[in-house]
Amino acid sequence: MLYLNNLAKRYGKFYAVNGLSLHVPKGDLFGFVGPNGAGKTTTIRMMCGLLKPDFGDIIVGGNRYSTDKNAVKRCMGYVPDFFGVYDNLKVYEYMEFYGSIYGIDDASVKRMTSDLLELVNLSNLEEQYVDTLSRGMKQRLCVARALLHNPELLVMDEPSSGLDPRARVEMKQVLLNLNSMGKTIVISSHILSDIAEMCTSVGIMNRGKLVTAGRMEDILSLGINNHHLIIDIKSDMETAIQKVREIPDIGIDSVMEGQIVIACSGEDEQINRIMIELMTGGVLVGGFRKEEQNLETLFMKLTGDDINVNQGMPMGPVKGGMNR
Amino acid sequence: MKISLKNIHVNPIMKKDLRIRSRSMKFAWGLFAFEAVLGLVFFFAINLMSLDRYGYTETYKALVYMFPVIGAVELGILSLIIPIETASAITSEREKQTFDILLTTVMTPMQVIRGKVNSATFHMMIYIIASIPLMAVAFTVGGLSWWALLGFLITSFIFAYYVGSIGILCSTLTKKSIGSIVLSYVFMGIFFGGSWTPMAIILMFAQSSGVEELGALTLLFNPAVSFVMFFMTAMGAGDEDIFGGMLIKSPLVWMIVSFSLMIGLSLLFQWFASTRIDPVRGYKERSQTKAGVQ
Repeated sequence: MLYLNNLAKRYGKFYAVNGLSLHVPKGDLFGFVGPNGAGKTTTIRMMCGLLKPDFGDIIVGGNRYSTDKNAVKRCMGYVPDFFGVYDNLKVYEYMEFYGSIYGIDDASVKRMTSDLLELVNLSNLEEQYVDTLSRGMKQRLCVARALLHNPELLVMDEPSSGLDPRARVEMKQVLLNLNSMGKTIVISSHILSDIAEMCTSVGIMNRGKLVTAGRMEDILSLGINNHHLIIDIKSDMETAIQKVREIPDIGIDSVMEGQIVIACSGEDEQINRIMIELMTGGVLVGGFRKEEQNLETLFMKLTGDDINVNQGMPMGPVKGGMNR
Repeated sequence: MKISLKNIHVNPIMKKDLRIRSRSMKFAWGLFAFEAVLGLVFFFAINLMSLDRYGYTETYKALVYMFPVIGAVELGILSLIIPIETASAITSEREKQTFDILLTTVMTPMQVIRGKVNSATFHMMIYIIASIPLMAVAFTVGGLSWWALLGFLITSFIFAYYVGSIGILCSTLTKKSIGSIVLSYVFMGIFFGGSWTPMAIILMFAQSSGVEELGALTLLFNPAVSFVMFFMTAMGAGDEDIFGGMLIKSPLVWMIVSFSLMIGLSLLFQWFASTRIDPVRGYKERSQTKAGVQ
């Protein structure tokens, strides 16, 4: 559905996006994550024609942006992180305005508006003035507006920013519904738990480059050998640290007050071995818990300053894993 | 295809802008203030005419002068309003954060610009049309031809379109509304006042060289000059009366050339404005290796 081919954008000598290649298959709900300044918004703005790439090309639904802008725009809907609305315009008129831009006649807009408003949980608000809606409602209206011309691809830049928890949950539900209807969605967000819950695939960006991308389960399995075991120590910490250091194939990640955090594979046999070694060594263990690898810990690891983005991580274009 | 009003494609931006403007209290109060000013001018002028004349017949005849008086005041006011209307057209879309959404739609930058200029022009025409009842006195009582009214409407339309295009260009040159409004007034100053400069220079330094009339050519871009010509022609002034007969021998030719140039310049301003708002203008695929950049 969406191909980004060696996309680059630079400001002077600084590359905001550098050689980004990515493929998002049809029907995917793709999450774009990365720290501030990673290049997510720059990439999204290039995808939507709001910023001219210095290099590379964008292909949406088989149409190249460099040769057929309009065809790309027709199969893409854009939802920005803000929801600019016009004063003195009713919900229906707002939709009618965008409908007329795409050459949709008023009768069809009326019918589609009703359906789309129902889809985004804004039923019966056609006659309401847009500027009287709540922030969450406006953002969902923006989604309805982006869907009016029935695009195959929906691109959303931080759609949940500034929304309260309820509005966030509602927005998430709307996106899942859309995805179940076959829409391809690319969403950038800082809320990693939402991305992990919703998305079928994910791409992590850092410093203008795609650090990794792939199907969510594949991405999460990248760090399977990097689980954390947190052990509460009730006896002398020095002895406990000494005993842990003597165990082969594991390392101490950090030491906190009364706790040792061990980086390990997280396998039961290994955990058993660690516990036995500690207890037989006279260390009093108050308890332990395994912290599993999730998108947040992986994100922190991959976007850390000392990370070498090329080491052991698959770079885009994403193949195999992301294709259905 | 069946011809009906529904089949006429109206620029969506123009339709939306006119709808939004017509609903705002600012528009209602603006129209009220505009009419009030014209009304005051009307009564002031009619009072002056009554003082200078003897008998009703003379006063009625003098009412014909209400046409240029009201017309000039109208255009003066509109010259102040249109830059505010248009110079903030793009910047206000940016400030409302609706502009990016517009650019991601299938509308071309030129369509966006045209929609903005057209909405401002038609909006101004509402003011002009609202003033017709006051002007009608000059036609019904003063004895002016209704063709003069039609000419006034056409001339006003071109005036609004021209000044609106200047405003819209300024709107794309700055990021903030206030900056673009100021810039728009500067541009207006150049076109209204600055266009006299070549003529003034020639008159100062080359009075008898026979090139005086060349200096007047820049006045072709000055809408105020063409307006004066229109009023004087409509009022039946002789060619020699117009700017002392120096500018041009045929006011009609002058007006046609001037208005054509103004429309041409308006389109040029609009084209330039559209290139300013097109974020991906001239985008062609380039590879990093081909460009020699790693």
